[in-house]
Amino acid sequence: MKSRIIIAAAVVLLFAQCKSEKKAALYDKVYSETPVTILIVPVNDNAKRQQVKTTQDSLVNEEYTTAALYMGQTLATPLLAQGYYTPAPLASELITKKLGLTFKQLRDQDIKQIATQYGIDAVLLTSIHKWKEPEVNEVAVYAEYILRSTKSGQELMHTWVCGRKLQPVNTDGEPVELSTDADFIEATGLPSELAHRCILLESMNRFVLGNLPTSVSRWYFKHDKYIAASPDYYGFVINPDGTWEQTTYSEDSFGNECFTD
Amino acid sequence: MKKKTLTAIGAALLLGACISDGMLTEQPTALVAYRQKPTEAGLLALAKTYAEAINSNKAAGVMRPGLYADYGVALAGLGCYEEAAVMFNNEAQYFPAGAAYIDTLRHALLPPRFATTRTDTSAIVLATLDTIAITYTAEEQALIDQIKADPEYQKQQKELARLEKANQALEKKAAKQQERKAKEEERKAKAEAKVRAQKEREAALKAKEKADQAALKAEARQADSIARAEKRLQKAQEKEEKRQQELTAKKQRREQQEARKKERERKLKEFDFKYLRWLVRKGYRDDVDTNALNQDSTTLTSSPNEK
Repeated sequence: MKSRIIIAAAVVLLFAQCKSEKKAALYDKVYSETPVTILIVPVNDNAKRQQVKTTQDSLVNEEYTTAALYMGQTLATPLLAQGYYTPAPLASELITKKLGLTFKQLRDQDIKQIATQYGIDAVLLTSIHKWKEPEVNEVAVYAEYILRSTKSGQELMHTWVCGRKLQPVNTDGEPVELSTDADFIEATGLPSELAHRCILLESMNRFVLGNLPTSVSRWYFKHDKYIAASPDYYGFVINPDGTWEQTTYSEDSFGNECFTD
Repeated sequence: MKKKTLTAIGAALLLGACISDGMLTEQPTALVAYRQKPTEAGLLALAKTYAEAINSNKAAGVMRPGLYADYGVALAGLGCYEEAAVMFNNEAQYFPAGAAYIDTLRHALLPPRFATTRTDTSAIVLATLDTIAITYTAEEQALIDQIKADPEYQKQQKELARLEKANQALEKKAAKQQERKAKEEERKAKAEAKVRAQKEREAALKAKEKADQAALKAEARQADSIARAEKRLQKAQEKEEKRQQELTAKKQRREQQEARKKERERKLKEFDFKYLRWLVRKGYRDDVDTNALNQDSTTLTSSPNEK
């Protein structure tokens, strides 16, 4: 009897895990509204700055600022790969300035004028809420991605992600660079710590926005409807060997970790 | 179904990779640096990185959306309005989806007199960006002056100038060598062409001779066949003449024979008549009509030969 109960429970759990939402359900508004042009609004850097007691603290605060700028620069690539058209950073910044709307207004108010004046179908609103360094070889960030339609004002996508990058360590416990990370540091000339933040943000952008449905301008449009979609709250991890992984996160745990000290 | 899905995903990724992937510019931190310190010098550096990115995209046969537009925004910020207008037109041409916001940018950044529909997607010459006059901030100018005053920097500049000169001399030498090589190759090519022409002429002559000989042979064959035909004709004519002669002779002989026969008959008849008349005269025959006999003699007196 006991063994039967255990087996039944295992079967139920197995089926429960198999049941992940498909893109058709999660992104139904994207499939119905079919946006093509997406305006990338400059990243809303909400991350709390460290209290400046030492030079290191001010360096870290500068890193947060630079990383947020870098994140804004790398949002376009995954959208372009999915077939969306995005104005480049300088042009996007100019349009946002001309609109004269704050981040909050772009998120909450009527933005039909963007569609009529600029021919833009949706806006991507990205926020960095928190940075964290749980371990010596680990950096974590809490971010929010909103894709909002300019025509209907509805949210086409709203994702909360906790991104973590784990650096490999040697036998002495000191962090070592992966070859791909070392190449990035050499190409950009950025300091190691900042480079890791930038790598994490760029990878997270690709992962999150790569989950969007293919744009209507591509032949593959609607062929990806029944592919599993990432949920609204999840974790993104870059393992020490450089591989990516999606982990589960509930709304409560995300809220607790992100918005409480 | 799973295989089809995987194939479709693979195809989508492949299609996605067709767009120029990776960084917006060759130097990804140029934009970040400009955002942190938005000076004219920073904008010029950004414009250069955009120009390099456009050239490398073109070389790869792709064009990243937004690249021309952002380059246009940078140029407009530097006061190069006409070039900026051309870049906006390039963006609108390549990506019609962005035409509406490009139009807004054009109106916002460019004076009306720079409205143009001209496009120019040829490779961007980076040296033209160096001619743009920019104003450095006091901080940048102080930094530039400090760098210029540094003896190490001056030493490096001298070394650079020396290397540049040496490089130019090497390039000149290489160019001369190239020219000499080209002339040598030209000369060789001419000689080869001459030999080839000579061979062609000889071949043409041989072919002509061969053709002439063939023509002569053909003529001789034709003449020969004509002569044979004439001979055959002559023989036939001679044969015909002979036949005609034989026929004539035969006819003549027949006529002569007829005549002789007639003469013989006439003579025979005359003899008979004369014999009969003798017999009558002698009285050996009294059954013959003497009147008829006399009449017959009258007719018989004129022999056909006498006539």
